[in-house]
Amino acid sequence: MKYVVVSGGVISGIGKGVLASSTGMLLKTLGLKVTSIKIDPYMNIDAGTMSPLEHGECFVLDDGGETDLDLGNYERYLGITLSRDHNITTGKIYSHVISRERRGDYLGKTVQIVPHLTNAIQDWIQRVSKIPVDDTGLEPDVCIIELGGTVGDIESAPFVEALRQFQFEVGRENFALIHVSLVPVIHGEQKTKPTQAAIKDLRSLGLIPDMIACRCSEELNRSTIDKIAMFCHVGPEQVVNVHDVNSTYHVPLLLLKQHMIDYLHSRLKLGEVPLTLEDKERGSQLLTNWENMTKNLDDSDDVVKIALVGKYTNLKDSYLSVTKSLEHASMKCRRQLEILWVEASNLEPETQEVDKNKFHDSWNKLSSADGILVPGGFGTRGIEGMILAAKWARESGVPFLGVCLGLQVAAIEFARNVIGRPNSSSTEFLDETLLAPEDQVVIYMPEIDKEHMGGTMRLGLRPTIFQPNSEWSNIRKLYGEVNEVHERHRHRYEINPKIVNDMESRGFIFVGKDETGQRCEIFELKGHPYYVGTQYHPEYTSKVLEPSRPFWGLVAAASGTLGEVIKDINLSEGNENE
Amino acid sequence: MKYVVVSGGVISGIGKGVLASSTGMLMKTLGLKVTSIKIDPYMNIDAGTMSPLEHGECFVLDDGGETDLDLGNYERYLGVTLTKDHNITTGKIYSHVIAKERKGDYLGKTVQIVPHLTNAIQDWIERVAKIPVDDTGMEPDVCIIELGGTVGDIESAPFVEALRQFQFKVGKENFALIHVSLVPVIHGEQKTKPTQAAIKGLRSLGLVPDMIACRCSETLDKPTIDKIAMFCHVGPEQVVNVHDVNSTYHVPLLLLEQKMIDYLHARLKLDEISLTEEEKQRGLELLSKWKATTGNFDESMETVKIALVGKYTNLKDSYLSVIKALEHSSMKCRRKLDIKWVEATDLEPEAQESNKTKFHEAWNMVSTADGILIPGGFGVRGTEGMVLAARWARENHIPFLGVCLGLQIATIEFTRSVLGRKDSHSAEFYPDIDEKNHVVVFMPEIDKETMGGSMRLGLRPTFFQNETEWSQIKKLYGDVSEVHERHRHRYEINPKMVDELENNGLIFVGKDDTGKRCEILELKNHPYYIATQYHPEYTSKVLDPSKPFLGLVAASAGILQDVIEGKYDLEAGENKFNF
Repeated sequence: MKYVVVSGGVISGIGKGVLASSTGMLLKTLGLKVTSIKIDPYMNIDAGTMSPLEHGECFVLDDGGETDLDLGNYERYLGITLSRDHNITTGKIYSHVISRERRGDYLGKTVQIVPHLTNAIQDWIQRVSKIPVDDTGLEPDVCIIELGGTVGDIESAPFVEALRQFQFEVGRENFALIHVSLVPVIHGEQKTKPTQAAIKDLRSLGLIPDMIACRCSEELNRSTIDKIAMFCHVGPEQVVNVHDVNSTYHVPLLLLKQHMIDYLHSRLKLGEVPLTLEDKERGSQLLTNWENMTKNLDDSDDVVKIALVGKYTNLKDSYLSVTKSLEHASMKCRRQLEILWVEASNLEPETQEVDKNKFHDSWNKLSSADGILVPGGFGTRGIEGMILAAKWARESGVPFLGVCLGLQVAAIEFARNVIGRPNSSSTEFLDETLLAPEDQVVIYMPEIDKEHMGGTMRLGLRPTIFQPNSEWSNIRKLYGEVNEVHERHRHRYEINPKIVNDMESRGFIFVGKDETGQRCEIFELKGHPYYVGTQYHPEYTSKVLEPSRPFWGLVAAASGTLGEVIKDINLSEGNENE
Repeated sequence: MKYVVVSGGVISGIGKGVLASSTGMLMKTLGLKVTSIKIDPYMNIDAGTMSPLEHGECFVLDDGGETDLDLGNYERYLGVTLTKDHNITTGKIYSHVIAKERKGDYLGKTVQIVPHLTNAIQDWIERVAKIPVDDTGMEPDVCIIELGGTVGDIESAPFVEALRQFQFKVGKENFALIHVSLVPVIHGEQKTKPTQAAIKGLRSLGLVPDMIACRCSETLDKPTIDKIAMFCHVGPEQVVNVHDVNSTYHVPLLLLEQKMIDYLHARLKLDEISLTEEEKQRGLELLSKWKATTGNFDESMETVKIALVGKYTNLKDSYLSVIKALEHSSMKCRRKLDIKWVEATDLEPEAQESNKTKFHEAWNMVSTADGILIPGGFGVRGTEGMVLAARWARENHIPFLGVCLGLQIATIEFTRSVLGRKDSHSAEFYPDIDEKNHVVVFMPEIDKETMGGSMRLGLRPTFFQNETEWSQIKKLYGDVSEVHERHRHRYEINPKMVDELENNGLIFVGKDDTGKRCEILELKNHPYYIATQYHPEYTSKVLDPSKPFLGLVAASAGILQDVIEGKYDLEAGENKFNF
């Protein structure tokens, strides 16, 4: 097993995740099997109780794990499926050690960070890195470890020490460190002092970088590279220039151009890893596909405008997987994606009174969009605005996708305006005692404990069965006419089974349900170009080269190419069947 | 509330605990009410699952808390009763924060060390500091906080950061920092560089020491003090010389002599705390008593030799409270204490074969001792040697005290030798022997599956039984009908054996409130042969020794009756005695 650790200094949020994902993806192009681990030095057990406004998206895994958004990046770039154990948090590892202490596993010992906690971290890494994560079902060859936070903080100290020990545990030739550092441009001058200080700190903690990835708004000058190399005690070929590019999808190619993989290849003795011709061929194909995809991105001229009607629109990281899914789909459709961010509450009549500018600006974006998306969220704020957006899409024939809360909003809108129950709502927003039974469109159902937060939602991979007589369904066709799909969930509330017949008799068809036939998973409106909602989160399994089908359908319909896409899907599925 | 933080650098184990306790004790002599908190940066929830060989004694509190031995030092020096919350460990505070996160208390937040953990630490300190800990029942005036470990380690980083923030939260005039540092003497030269580096490290973490307590084997030279003051950015009056002294009981007087309290008095504006005349008087009396009592340590001419027959004798910190209780008692009896450390296994016949020298040396110590003590412990190793020591004491009328395991040993020995049941033993060590030979059994209130926190722990009542007026131990306790002492055990005397034992003179003079659990045994017609299931050493105080230990030392010194009659009490005759 080879380990590549990606750490960061100077400041946080400078692109460690993209660098880690890109490195992993490039190693895959060599034919290697790659996995990844994210270390998050916060004390939450997982990301499930963290507000999107504070920490960005909570990414849900197949096993229901609620993790940092970086795991989403790994899955999308590397085409892998991770488990909750691939996300190590301070809270998680401390709980692990403390519970072992209570059980008596450390009987007699004073349990300390060094060596007990650091050993637990290393054991965890070694155990998890062996878990198969791709469709080969084989143990990975390389594990990328991204160390969150900033080296030198109290928060990450135990992990830094654990990794320092780990390099000796696994051996020098199996451990490489890439440090991501910021090179700010001040008055046109590229400043290296912050990087020098960061590397000095790193060295004092016992870690020596094999590569220094310099994040800079522009290309580094030769003299800057030489200066960094000299003061940071590395060769010039170990300094990588990660300047701004059109999109993060270009970063792997940027790194390739700078011979990063050549260096890692010799540093980690990757020649010694046995690979079949098939492995190598798959790697080459991946690189070719990636190059084609980024070329598509650069060549796209037509624009597709998608209005995203959400409630955390000022922090776009809250919707990271959604935006990535839209990007993947637009690349597939050869369109330049333009997301029109609409704060749902700005669509509401009250806003017309308090802030006319925002009101009209929001409605302008909505009415000029090629497609409308209402993503997941929690809480009552903005719901009425979302309902108005759904109404607009339904009545105007504009392509629409509702995800999780978005599905519920669409159902409420339909119940109010088509079935004629103006007081329809969700028991999440109005207590059951305040809402007549026939107006309870969305209710909470068993498998929920209302008392506890954190880890009590319906989470992770669950099957959805397409119902009989749904061959007409666009979404079913997009999924390749299969009978069953598996998607990730994160919700507490769902459609009230008692109103399904009413809804369906008016054209609002629940084409996908769970195994019991009780939980509504997918709806589609008959007679509309594309009006689809899913209770699950299709964005969690979208991949750079394989977009999520519901999102793909939205973008395709918004681009006017849905029919062609469905035809292509049929052809490719058919080819595979022959 | 005034806070005094005691931190350490250079190396660990240089006497932070003694310095903290001594500082607190001196503040009490001003009439202030003092409490203390120990921060232990290890990940155990408490000290209960830690081997004495690894970490020293596990000290048990009234509430059953199993804590670091330093809490024992605080209780003994300051005469206070602490709770388990007065011991903050990394494991405890992390569990606390993680549990709150799971409950949703931090809903929406990324829970980080800064600020969430550091805030939790500060809140914990402020809450616990207010808990009354002495017999006034009032909120303390001063809280001593000892920061365990070495500043600069990963382990203590969250606590250092929490305290850095805390100094601004409570205000400069309510927070003082004493840093304990080592000044090694190399080739006769007093070296200050380690202290300079330590203080520099401290400053880089945002803490500036108000006093630097220099631990040194000898008195610091004036140039050394000036050098430390200059390089560490403090005045010379802020450098305290804590050189080696005859005993740790002299440290408060050493600090007093160097005007440490004068500095703290000004620094913390202690004038502003309103004190009654009664409080001031109590403080002055404390100082007088301390001087009178610890002065005995030097004046003592006669020696009393106590053989301590244990199983961790190469690590004496495992028996810290026992040692302290013996010291408190010997000071009271005006005797110089000489502890003979006997490894129990060395008394066993097997040792005579495998290591004749150790065998004879061990027996020599036992046979020449004035008194014999068998302290608490776990595991079967050495129990046969302990049985032999108990037998020696019983047959030769040597004063004897058995504590916890020691009580069980004494009972097993009596059953074998006097009742004639050769195969008697404890079910803890030999669960498969015939049940009628189970002298010691495990009883309800125990979960055998889970370790950690499942013993019978903390303060429990013991009732003296009817017709025990003859009992020496009852007299030592002042002829009361009930006493409260701390426990830490899983096994106890088999109630089915009691009648037979008592018929032959081994009387269980003290039992629990159900009358089932045997708490105190005493042998009739022996000068002093006593054992307790509880741990009397946990509540011994410098000026008020544990009664069972006091009895052992007094009997060993041949003055038991005089002690019982109060002739050795300080109040008896204004420090004057006529013999």
